[in-house]
Amino acid sequence: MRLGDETAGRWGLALLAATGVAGFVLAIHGWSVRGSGLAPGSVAASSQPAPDRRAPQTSRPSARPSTSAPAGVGPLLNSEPYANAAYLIWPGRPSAAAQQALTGLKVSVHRLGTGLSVAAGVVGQSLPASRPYPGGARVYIVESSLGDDSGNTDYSLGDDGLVVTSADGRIVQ
Amino acid sequence: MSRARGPAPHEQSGPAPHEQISQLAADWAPALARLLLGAVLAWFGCHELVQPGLWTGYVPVLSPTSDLAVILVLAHGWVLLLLAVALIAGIVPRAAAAVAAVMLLEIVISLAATGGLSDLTLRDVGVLGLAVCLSGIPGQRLILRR
Repeated sequence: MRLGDETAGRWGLALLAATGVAGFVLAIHGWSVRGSGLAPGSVAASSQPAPDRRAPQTSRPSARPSTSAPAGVGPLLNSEPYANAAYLIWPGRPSAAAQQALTGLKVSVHRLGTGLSVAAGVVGQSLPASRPYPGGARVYIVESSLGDDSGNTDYSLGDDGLVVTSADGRIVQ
Repeated sequence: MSRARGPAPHEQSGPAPHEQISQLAADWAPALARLLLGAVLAWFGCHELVQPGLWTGYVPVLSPTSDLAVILVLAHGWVLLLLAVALIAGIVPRAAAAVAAVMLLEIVISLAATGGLSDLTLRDVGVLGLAVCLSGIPGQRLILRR
């Protein structure tokens, strides 16, 4: 097959076809796990008004409190697969990695009785209303890929999330 | 007198080393650049196909949590993977580099529009320049013509 002054032979076309099939298989896999990249309490999800049509992940507790869900604690944050991508941002001064994870995001934390009141949003947008986390003692930002943060912009909010834990490290629901 | 008419010393020993190195670079640098650009596209293509949820934030206008954004990321990753193989294997490499340049231009414009001129954006400008350059170099090595 000629393309301008270049030619693609049979072997070349066969290799491209095989790559296309392999890519299609990978795409099917990617579609099946499309929700797995999102950390609980996704900042992107909370900052976007569009509804999330995915089925709720019942196996993974959400740090985003719902008005109907009873307050309680979930599993230990350390036992979650995204634990190594969680950076402590409150209390205390966030580490350099935590500050990078916070790129493009703004988080407001206040004590509320025995728990915390937390609001998280995207820089440049209005901060959503604070949400109570009864029993909350620590706030973590979850950022699975720091490479998408640059300057004051996070180019991929899909991998950002917020987790509030109790003093013993359990996720507050 | 006869000695004065003989060939100069450098003509007897062939090209100077720096000329040989220059010729070697001219012959093989485009192929090496093609392999490296292909590796970059392959990495991003595979990553977008395997974990599209991490890339939907780059899709302009659409919500990162929408299914349409995931589909667009998967399609983008699929095209990147094809271009990567074409560049690495040397299958119509100039055309593949030209298509890659168009896709990178779209990425640069999108990033600049949403986040301004950041280090990430300028890094992609450099990759765009590499693709543009490769699309204009004929007679490259390591080409699969059959």
